[in-house]
Amino acid sequence: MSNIDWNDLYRTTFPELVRFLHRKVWDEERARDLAQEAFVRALKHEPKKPRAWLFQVAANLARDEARTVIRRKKHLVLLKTEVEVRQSSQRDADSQLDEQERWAAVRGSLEMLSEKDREALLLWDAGQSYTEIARQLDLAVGAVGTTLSRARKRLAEAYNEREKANVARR
Amino acid sequence: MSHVDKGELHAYLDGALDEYPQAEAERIREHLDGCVECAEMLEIERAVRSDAEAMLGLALPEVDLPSLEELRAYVKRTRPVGPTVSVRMYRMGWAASIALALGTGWVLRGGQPIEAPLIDRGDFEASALEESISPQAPAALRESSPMDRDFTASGLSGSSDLTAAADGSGVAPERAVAGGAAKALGARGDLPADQVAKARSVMPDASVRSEAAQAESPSRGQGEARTGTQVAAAGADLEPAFEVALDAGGVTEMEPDTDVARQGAAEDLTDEVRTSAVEEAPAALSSTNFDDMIAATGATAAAPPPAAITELNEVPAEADSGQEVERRRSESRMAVTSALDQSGLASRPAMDDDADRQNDEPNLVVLGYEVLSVTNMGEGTTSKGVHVVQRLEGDAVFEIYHLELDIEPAILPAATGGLNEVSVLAENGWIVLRGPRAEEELQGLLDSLFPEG
Repeated sequence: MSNIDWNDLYRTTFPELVRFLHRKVWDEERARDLAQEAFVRALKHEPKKPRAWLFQVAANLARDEARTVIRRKKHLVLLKTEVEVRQSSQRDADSQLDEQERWAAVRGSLEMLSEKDREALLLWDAGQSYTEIARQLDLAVGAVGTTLSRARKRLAEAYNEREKANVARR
Repeated sequence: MSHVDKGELHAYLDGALDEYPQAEAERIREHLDGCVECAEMLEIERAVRSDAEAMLGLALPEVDLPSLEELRAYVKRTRPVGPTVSVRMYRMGWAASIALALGTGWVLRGGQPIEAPLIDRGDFEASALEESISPQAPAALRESSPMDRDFTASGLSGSSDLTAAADGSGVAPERAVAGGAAKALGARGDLPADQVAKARSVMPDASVRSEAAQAESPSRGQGEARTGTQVAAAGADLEPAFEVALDAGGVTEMEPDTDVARQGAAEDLTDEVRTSAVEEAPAALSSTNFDDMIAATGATAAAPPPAAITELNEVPAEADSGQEVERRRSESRMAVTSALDQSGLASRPAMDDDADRQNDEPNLVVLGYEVLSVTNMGEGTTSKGVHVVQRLEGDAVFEIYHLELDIEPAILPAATGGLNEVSVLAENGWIVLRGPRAEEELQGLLDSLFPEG
């Protein structure tokens, strides 16, 4: 019998998963879909270390998503909530434009990072511990800080360069 | 005392020093207390960290938490009912059969790795086939159809006499199916005749012992067939053999009494391996989907053209047409059906779940590429999956890892030396494919594992 407190795990991890996935697929709805898919699989498989498992599955789902080779789309059940629909309809065009610009800037900056640096940064930002990041990326725990310091510096540089270029164009 | 590096500063800022070894964490804390230079560096890195966090914060999704109960209900609705043994594990079963064959030879050769035989249409002479059938085999086997003989010979080298010994009990044709499936692994030729002869010379009465072993456990060949099948692999990828075991019935825990790895004497070892092999067949058959199993033998016209997987030696190259393939599939199906009629397994109802799964389950190997090794991965008695190495071309190979449920790709060694990697999470776990090719090409290979394309 599983000892996992699914309610707690779901409440704490689902938002983190969506956040993590969103920075990979850059689509809120898709990120939620994939997070749900990850949880559906976790509920089925009841892994021993569900949190790490979820992030690993999510990372691979996102990677597969990018390659459009997901084979289990039948599992992807979009449980739309009324709140979600309402929020979506309330967004006006201007704010959506701003949002898209911000996302494009962050996305472009993240793409300047190496895959491992980006992954470490996104995992950290999604609430993963050094130990969890180390396990997922096959790093020593002591190397996670170095990876994160490099990733953060590179992200800041890339973002600032992008902003300067935008200012120059205007 | 050395200064604190940037990584340690970020670990400090992230509150992650508790995850460091205690002495190391204490050193960092003490140093930061007394070093002005590092304290200044800490503030610089704090700003870098803060900037990065702010930038990431610009792209935060709005997260609505769907109902966990709805997710649970969905999982409950879709959770497979009945046996959890999957088609894939059946396929692992026949993968085990070839690995078993090679592993047996490995033991008999005193632990020297056996070169994986290169598969070529011409390298499997009829004489070698005849030679591989034990003189103790019942006449029925010797007079069996070419298809049957092929299955038998292709299944196991030194243990083809095992198949023969079991013939009278109705197990042999089932075993033959597993052997036939082994052809899909590209190991159709198994061992050269001299190795076969060598193997047999070591255990001349093996078939008799095998019969006796089977008689001791008459019920285990049916249904559950909880079999600890020793898996080893050919070629350079040979694991320190008998560390792991593959349960051909899909059960990863192995019964102690079938734990070949723990058997001491070689004599007992071969007995045990043989017994396991006999018991394995019904489990492999229990999918009751013969088309699927026969397709797994590689006898499909749709298989890619490379020479690795070729058809039965009696069939001329020019006859390798769709019609010919269909004819042989039909023969195979009839042989299997007949065997099942004899054994009583034919009446076993198909598992609903399997019918659902068969279209989704990936093949163990990419058809059309020579298989160099099939190795079970695991620790102790727990299987973590199957590692397949196939020849791409020349010396280039690609590797496929079929990981068990809950086993994460992160357990795999990092892909190095110009290898690229693609992966997919299938119903029964991750499949990771690596090779020295562009990801697009590897993706094509990965896709081709799935019968539905």
